[in-house]
Parts: sequence; C-alpha cells; structure tokens
Amino acid sequence: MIYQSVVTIAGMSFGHMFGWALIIEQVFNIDGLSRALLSAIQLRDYAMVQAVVMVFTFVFVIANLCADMLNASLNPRLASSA
Amino acid sequence: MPRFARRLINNFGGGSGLLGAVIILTLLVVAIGAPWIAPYDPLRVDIVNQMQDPGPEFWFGTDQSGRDVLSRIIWGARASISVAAIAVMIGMLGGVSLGLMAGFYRGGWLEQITMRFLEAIAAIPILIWAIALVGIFGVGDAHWGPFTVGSELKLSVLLGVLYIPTLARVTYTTAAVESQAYYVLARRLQGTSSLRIIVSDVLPNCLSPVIVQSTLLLAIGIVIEASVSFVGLGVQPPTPSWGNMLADARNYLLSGDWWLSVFPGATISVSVVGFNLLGDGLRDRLDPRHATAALAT
Repeated sequence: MIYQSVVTIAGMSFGHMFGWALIIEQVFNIDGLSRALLSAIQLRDYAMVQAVVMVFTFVFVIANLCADMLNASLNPRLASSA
Repeated sequence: MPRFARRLINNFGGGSGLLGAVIILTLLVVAIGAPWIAPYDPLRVDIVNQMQDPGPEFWFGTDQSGRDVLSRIIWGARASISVAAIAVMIGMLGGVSLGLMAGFYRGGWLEQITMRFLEAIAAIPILIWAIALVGIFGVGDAHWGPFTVGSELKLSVLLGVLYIPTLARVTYTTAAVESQAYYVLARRLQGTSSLRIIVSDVLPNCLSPVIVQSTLLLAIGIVIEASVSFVGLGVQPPTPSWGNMLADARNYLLSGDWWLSVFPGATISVSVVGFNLLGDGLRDRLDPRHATAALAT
C-alpha cells in the first residue's frame, strides 16, 4: 500500500510548497501571492495579511481533503472505517 | 578497528550519525567561539577590498562593502544556532508537558481540548505561521509590555510556540501507550500521586522519540530562520545571518560573484544535513523499530 503514504505526503507537501513558494518568488521576482503577503507585512496592512494566510490555509486544508478522498478511493477499506 | 571507535560509532547509530554529530559539534564550537575564530570583524566596512575573490587573505571573499564573508558566516552561525536551539527548548517545555498530560489523562476532556487545539495550530504550515506571526508582531525589535525583545529572540519564541504541536503529538503517542503499562498501575497501587508517576515513570520512557524529533526540528529551525531572514522579516542587517547574507547576494547572482551566495548556502545545507544525519542515527540507536525516517517540515 505504498501509494497511500505517497498520496498523503503529496497532499501535505502541496500546502507546504505554498509557503516555500515565498522564497522562489523572492529569488526569481515572480509577482505571486506570497510576495503580496510579504509586502503587506512590510506595509503593516493587517487585513491583507489575514486574507492571504486565509487563502493559504484553505489551499492546505483542501489539498489534504483531496488526498484523503483519493486515499479512500484507492483503498475502499479506509472509507468504511472513517 | 579499535573497540572504543566501534563503540563511539554505534552510540550515534552508525557512521553517518557520527558524521552528523561531528558537523554539529563543529558548528557549536564555531558559534560559541565566533569572536576568537573569526579572522575579521563581520561588520567592518573596507571599501578598498570590496568584492574580492576567495583567496589567501579572504578565504571566502568579501562582499559589496568589503566585509569578510567567512567572518560573517562564523558570526551568522550564532543567529542560526541560537534561534533553532531556543525554539526547540521552548517547544520541548510546552510540547512535552502538554503531550504527557494529554496522554496520561487519555479519554478525558483535558485530552480533547489540548489535542484539538494543537491540531488546529498544526493545520497551517509552519513557514506560513512564522511569516504571519512576524506580520502580527512586526519586523525588528518587538515591545512586549515593559520588555524590548530583539528580532532574534522574538523569532525563536514564535518558532518555539509553533514547535509545541509537533513535539506534543510525539510525546502524546508514546505517553498514551506507556500510561496503560503495568508498571504505572503498580505505581498507582503503591499510592504514588499522578504527578509523580507522570514525571518519574512516564516521562523517561517518552524521551527518546522526543530527542530524535527535536534534532530534526533543529534542522527545520535553521532553514526557517534562514528563509525568514532571507525575505527580510527575521534577523535585521547589519547583524549577519546566513539568510540575510543570501538576500544580499541575490543582487550579484548574475554578475559572476558566486562566492557571495555559494558559501552561505553551502553552510546552511551542510548544517541541515548534519542535524538530519544525527537525527536519523539517533533514531536507529534509540528506536530500532523505526528504521526509516520521514522529515516533514
């Protein structure tokens, strides 16, 4: 059942990568969501910080949800126990 | 191979674990002895010698203000190590005590409240938490009541709080199993108080996974400190840190001045690899059931 752990880790990494994208966006000057977060912090625009973190959290939670559902369809035994 | 050497290697869970320990030890010595080891003052501006190639005088070259890169890396080790170490200490204090409590009183409302609250914190990736918290508390020195907290200490406290869920979960899993063991029942029949059972019987049996996990968290702490300083939210210049050295070097990526980014980057990589090797070695040594290691940042 190795694909299960692969799917779980992939789902978690997807959310984490949104955080690490900050570094990539900074290095390659890409105008992404993380740079919006960064400039909002520097300008002390708290509403903007809140909004971006909210979006990140949603992405993280939804990626985990997708991974769980994919796991359930890959292995029906998980669906009945959960 | 002499017997003491074999025993030393086995104590760190094999040759790679020993290599990790040697790297960490070197890093600690360099961080503590920075004033005596560093060949130059890391803040000294020397315009005559700016942008020097690595050579016999400046081993790792100099940056745009003529500051010696080697000295800055040596002083930057202080920031990285202290942030990671203080964060792990705070995380251990909070995480181990909460995890023990939740594991021992398993099935009660105390466990439910604690673990659900910690899971809520763990639901957001740690780097996003760190950046958001720096956003809340402000860049640079923070003023908490009557105290002024420097940017390094502030970062380590915030990171330490974020480590609590991870360490609590690790402690909780073992504590929940150990609390059901017969020796705990025996201690209770002797009339020992719950607090005493937790501290003197359950805690020692929960420590080895915590030690392994905190070694890995030290590595993550170094990476997080470097990343946060890289985007300008952590250690503020001119104080050297590996992250803000890389941020400075970013302007010279295309001009062929490779030493500005290669040396701080390589230092970060080597120290993270060192902590991970030590963590894996200790895991093999302390917990033979887990032969594999999963590093989740």
